Amino acid sequence: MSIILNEKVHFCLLCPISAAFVSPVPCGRHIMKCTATPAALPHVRGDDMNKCILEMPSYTYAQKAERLLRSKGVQSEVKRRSTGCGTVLHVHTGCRAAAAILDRYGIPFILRETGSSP
Amino acid sequence: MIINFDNAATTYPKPESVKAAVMEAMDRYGGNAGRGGHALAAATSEAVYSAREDIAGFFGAEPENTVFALNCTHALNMAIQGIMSGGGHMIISGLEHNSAARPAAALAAEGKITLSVAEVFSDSRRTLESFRSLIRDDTKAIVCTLASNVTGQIMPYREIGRLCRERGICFIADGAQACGVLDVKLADGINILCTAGHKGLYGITGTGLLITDGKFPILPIMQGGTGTDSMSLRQPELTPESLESGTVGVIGIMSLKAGTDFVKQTGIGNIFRHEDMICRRFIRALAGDERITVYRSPEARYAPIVSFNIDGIAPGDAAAALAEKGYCLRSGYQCSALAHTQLGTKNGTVRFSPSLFSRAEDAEELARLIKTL
Repeated sequence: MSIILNEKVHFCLLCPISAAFVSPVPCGRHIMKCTATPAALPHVRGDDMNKCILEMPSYTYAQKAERLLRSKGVQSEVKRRSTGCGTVLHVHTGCRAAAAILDRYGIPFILRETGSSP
Repeated sequence: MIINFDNAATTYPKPESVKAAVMEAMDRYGGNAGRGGHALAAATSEAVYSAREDIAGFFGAEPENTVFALNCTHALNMAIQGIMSGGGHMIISGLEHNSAARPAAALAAEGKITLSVAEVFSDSRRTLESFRSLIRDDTKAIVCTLASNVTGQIMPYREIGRLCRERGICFIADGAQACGVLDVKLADGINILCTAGHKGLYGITGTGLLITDGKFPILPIMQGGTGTDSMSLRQPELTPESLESGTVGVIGIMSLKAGTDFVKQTGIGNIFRHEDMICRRFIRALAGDERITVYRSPEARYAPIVSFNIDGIAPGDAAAALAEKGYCLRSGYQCSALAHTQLGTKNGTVRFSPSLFSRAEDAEELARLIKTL
């Protein structure tokens, strides 16, 4: 999955569960929230999404997300982005569940990278 | 000998736990919160987030809606200018501190907003009616202190909150004298709560809070580095970072966390009862001297503040005479032009304000001394 980032589109959110764009380009200044419900969504391109990196809008949201996920039994880690400034959340297992939880609690994020656990 | 009865300005002494938190922050949290990924920055960032989360919980708010400020004035400026940037009508109470009244008056003087001042009465119903009668179609915000910093009068803030909710108006509350002695929550109908961290919350000076329910977007009055989206020249839109440009005061924040923990553990009800008891004993001890006027009404409720005057002695002279004996009291207008205009106190007042660490015997001794002036 990838996110379109150019001069006009700062945050164009790809729905973490359905792999569909939630908002059409340009999505402007707002982080659009995924509105799909997890139960109704198909598997994402055959990917079990065990691990992923979620780009968070701020360190505050990253911490909130990490603590929320931990309370739900999903392990993740707050890290600095490898390029540029910003904070990401490394979800080690259960990415689908993590995405669904964050969505349910209205915590904005952008799905950056996915992959199965080794 | 120093006996501080000027705790409405800033509480002193601070709890031991606050002193310890300051020292711990100096030793352990030497990084820049939200910047960098190294161990020092990470530990500092996490500590600041923990403080944010704790403090948010204290007021029934979300961590991302809890903004650290330099003081209550800073928070009120952010709220007032940030909400009223597009113009409109605003109402403030007649008891507002200059921290709210001046930014409001400045916007009005520049022609950016129209401003009304609601008269305050001892009777809460009349005060509420005063606000209601001033509401117009374009009224965007009501700014009201929760408790006057001059007299301590507690405003009918839950009712004002209800009125604002009914009319779709943003309720900005100044909690400087209420937080820590009254159990203030966003659920009281407050959209944006601004407060000091160094008064009833027992943090160090240089701390304040803006806590929002997120329903009314607050445009930042200051832009700058936030540690996020750094290649964009546009300020982030999400709180708290949108309103926290530049390095946050980590040591102050940790002191504020320790202070609010102290208040929680002590119990707001216990703090109020203790300070209220001291005020009552102070007032009782002043009784019998016809020269003394205490600015309280039996109709109103009061936070632990007592303003008084002595006939024939200017407030500043009275406070100076008491200071010579080691008593710290605030005299003059207490930065509240509107309140003193409404009270009709031409030279201001002398203000007595205890803290949890104050003793009733000291208050009574002070009262005896006042009677000798």
